[in-house]
Amino acid sequence: MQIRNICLLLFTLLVCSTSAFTQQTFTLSGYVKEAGSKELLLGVTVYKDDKSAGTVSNNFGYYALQLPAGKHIIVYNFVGYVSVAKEIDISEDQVLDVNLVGIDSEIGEVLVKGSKTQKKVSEEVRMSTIDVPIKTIKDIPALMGEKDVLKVLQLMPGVQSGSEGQSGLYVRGGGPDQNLIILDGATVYNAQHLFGFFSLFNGDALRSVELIKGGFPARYGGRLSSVIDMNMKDGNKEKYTGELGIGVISSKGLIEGPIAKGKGSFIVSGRRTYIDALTQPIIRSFNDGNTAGYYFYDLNAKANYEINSKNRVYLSGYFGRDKFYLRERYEGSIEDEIETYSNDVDFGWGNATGTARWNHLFGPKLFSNTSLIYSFYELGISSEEQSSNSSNFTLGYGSGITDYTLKQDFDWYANNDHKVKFGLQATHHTFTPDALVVKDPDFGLNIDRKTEYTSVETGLYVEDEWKISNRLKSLYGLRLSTFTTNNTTYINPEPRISLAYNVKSDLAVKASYATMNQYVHLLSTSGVGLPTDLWVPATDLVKPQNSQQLAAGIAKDFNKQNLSLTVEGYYKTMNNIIGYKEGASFLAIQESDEGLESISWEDNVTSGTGVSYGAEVLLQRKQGKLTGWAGYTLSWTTQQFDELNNGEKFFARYDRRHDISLVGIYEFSDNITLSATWVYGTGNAITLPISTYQISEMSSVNSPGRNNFYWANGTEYTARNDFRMRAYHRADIGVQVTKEKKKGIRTWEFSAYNFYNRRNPFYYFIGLEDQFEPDSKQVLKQISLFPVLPSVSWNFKFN
Amino acid sequence: MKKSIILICVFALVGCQTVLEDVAVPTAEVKAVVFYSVNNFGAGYSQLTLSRSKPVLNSSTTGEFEKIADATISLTGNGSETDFVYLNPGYFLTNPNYKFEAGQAYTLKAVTPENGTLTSTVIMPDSVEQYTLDLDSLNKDWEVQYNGRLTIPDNPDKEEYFRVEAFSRYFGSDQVMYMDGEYFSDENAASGNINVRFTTYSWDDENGERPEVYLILSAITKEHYNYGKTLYNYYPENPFSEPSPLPNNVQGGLGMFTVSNSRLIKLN
Repeated sequence: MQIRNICLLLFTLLVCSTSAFTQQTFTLSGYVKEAGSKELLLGVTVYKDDKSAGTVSNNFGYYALQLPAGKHIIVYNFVGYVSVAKEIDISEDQVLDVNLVGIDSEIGEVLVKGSKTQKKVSEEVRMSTIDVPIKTIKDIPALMGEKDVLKVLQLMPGVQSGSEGQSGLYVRGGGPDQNLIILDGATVYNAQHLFGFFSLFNGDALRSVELIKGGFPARYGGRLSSVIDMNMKDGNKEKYTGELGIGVISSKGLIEGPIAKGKGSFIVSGRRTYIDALTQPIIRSFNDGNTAGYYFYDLNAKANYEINSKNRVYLSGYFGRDKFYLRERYEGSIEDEIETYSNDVDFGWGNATGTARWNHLFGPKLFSNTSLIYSFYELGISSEEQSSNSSNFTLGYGSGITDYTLKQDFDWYANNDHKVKFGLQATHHTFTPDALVVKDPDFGLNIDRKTEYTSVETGLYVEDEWKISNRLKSLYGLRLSTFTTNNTTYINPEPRISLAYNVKSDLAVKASYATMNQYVHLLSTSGVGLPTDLWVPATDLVKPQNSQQLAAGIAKDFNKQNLSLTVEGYYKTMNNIIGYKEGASFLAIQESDEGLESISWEDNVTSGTGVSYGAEVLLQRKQGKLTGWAGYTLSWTTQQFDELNNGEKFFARYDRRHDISLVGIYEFSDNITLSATWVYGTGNAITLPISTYQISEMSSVNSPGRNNFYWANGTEYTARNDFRMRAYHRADIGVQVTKEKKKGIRTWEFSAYNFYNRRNPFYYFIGLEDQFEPDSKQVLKQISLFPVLPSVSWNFKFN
Repeated sequence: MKKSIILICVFALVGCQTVLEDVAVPTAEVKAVVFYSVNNFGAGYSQLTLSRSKPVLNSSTTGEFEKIADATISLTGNGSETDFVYLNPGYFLTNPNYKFEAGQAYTLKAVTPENGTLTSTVIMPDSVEQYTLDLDSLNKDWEVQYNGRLTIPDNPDKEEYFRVEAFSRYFGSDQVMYMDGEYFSDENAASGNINVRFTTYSWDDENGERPEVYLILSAITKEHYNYGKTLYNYYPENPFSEPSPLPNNVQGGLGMFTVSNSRLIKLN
């Protein structure tokens, strides 16, 4: 009943408001491209010079604007590009593709009116949304020189990092599983390399990155806390070009070019670490031929082709993998008998995504995108032990998730006051939370078990960006999400609304409300962000997570100074969030009358609620010699589980009272760019042991004289997460020196991570003050990971 | 293996330790710790232990836990009271004829000169009146494996918690046997029944004599159940797992006081 009423209301609103338009108009439509590469540009503001009509190019660079017959000046404006004004005379529907010239570029068209203005936050109806220019990501100094999209997002207010060096994102009190990370429409489940020290996305192959923390448009769903929508570059349609980069821990390369000039293009980008290759000889020589190592690699590829003016196709994919390995070999003789032993241990995880898309124009007002998407994540641990005097031992453990998604999206440019998006998606999930193989003939073990769940998730949505008046705008919509698993189907309506009221031309007051549902959970043993965290579905027993978020704030542009300021407050409630029961872990095995078996993850988890609220301030400058931002977050995040902490409310591990980020990028000269960041965060909340005591197993079999004590001592803890680690702060600096060469541009980058060598806490533990004196007192010790880490990298971009 | 891999990669990454000198760490009060678990078999069947906790930080934790000998301890309930007598350091015994009755509340009180007064009150659960035991035994040379299934009718009007223990008796001396599925509840009762599977083993003695094997099936309190389940997953040495605080039902100190309603079942 509730769903029907909401749908009816939305439909009535949409039909009434779109039919109110009576004046004869024509549609100006087309694609906005980058001059030179002909790469499509998304998010370009297109408007009449008197601002009576305007729109924004969609994810495929397409725009459509309704104009009355006559002459008009249309302005195309995009951050980092020179604005273009085109004079048109329209008397019928007209197609106009426009090329924008990068500010740094020397190629260009002459039609320049105004220039270098940044996107106005006061003009946007959406709030809690941040787009990060790829150039900014490349300019900011990074750990070991590895540019990292997710770490740049961590510098935004409302977004926190887990601990030192981690790529995990904690957005407005949500856990890392509550972020929908999308690459060309495909969900990326584990966006981390090397336990989170580096993210999967190096920026070279990316065209755009957008972070949404609240006021979610209805087209997004499936996660509670954020959407990180990334699009890969299409590739240069005009000429072959490429990039090469050599860094401290990895090298990378990119090549792009036309498939058919002006019609289609491709791009391939890859990266691999080489610490293992460099250290192999040393490890082997010190370990009698035994060896161990680690590496990761990733590969992005995309191709597109314009069949005709109404049809375009895209094919893109990502493939990446991390791998630890250990190889032990032994050969010897005992009493003239030759004995051999070998042990191969592998620990790897990886993602793969694939997206096939078809853009079709049903008319200038109706743009369609059909996507077929594949997404895959797996973790595998294996050990093979072979010995000449015993049977072979095999251990294998794996978990993973495979998705197939069919998605249909429409952009309907109804009129200048209504831009409607609607569509549906259906995803078939296959979850394998745990697969265990143990073979040990000596002990009679032969286990081969696999838990598999299949489920179907769908989302049907409609949203309308409605210009109610010159001052008041709204983005409202509804998503109807469903999830079918085993014998249960969950159906949830998700109303969304954002409102923006322009008090003045450069000052807007905004508010938003969003309901979100999440049908997949991440079971995390710790906050370290391990790949051993398991993706599991909502089931009959484990309910889907859901949240409601209310946000309000102001957005102010300081046009003369090229500054924008946003101040937002939010309140978010989360239900059915899950966690391991106290003492439980991912590889839980028990013996039963049927032998050794994994304990079902459903028996290991408990569900609870969470509340997060706070305020965020962002002062940002996107253009000029000095760019960057200052961000501040004040927040509280608490959780309550009946089965944890005696049922009492506690601070989430990532509750952070104060979080400050300062980012500055200064173009010192045409070929020298200086950059610096400074971050400060309240220490993480942890549980600390305070006393130890002798405990009893409480056996009923207790004849006098029998020792009834348990093997381990009991530990009394502070209340859960009641102790704060030391505050975290760090500064990074970098300098980029570019030089134009005959065949391209060479860039040397020198940077220092943690340049004032702050010993930040990564992990606390209790240890002996003097480890060689067993009777010495126990003290609290801290593990710090990274001292000052200088790095240097060399990059070359071919002309 | 998981732990090793994690440790290798964490500490390989330029790990460095710092002793925290400028951080105010929480101070821990030394508390009295009492454990007393008793059932309808009689108060003489079990001992009470009383000791002191040790602060973890800024003290040495080597050596034994300090036992408390000079405490005054009493047990009251069902209209009667009995005192405990000191047996040896940390151990106390009480009147073996003290009787327990289902549905009655019992209060344990321990007054210590240095660590204050500890109290705990529990209600003895009703006994398990009906049950069905299906049992298979598997003889393997000197070992016998018992695979059993207990079925207990579920009472939908109340929460019920159970424990099943096994022991073997050699010449009057009892030996606790390994038991899985030891703690269970009516949470997953199906078709009006609570079912639990268990496996236990007994071994012949050095003379080839097969011991008598018994089960103790107990109705227990919720606190006792929570304590047992927590202990079952208790790996305090794992630095990467969530801390597992042990349930505590003793006011003024630490520990656990339980009164169970048990019955003895002979398996062979």
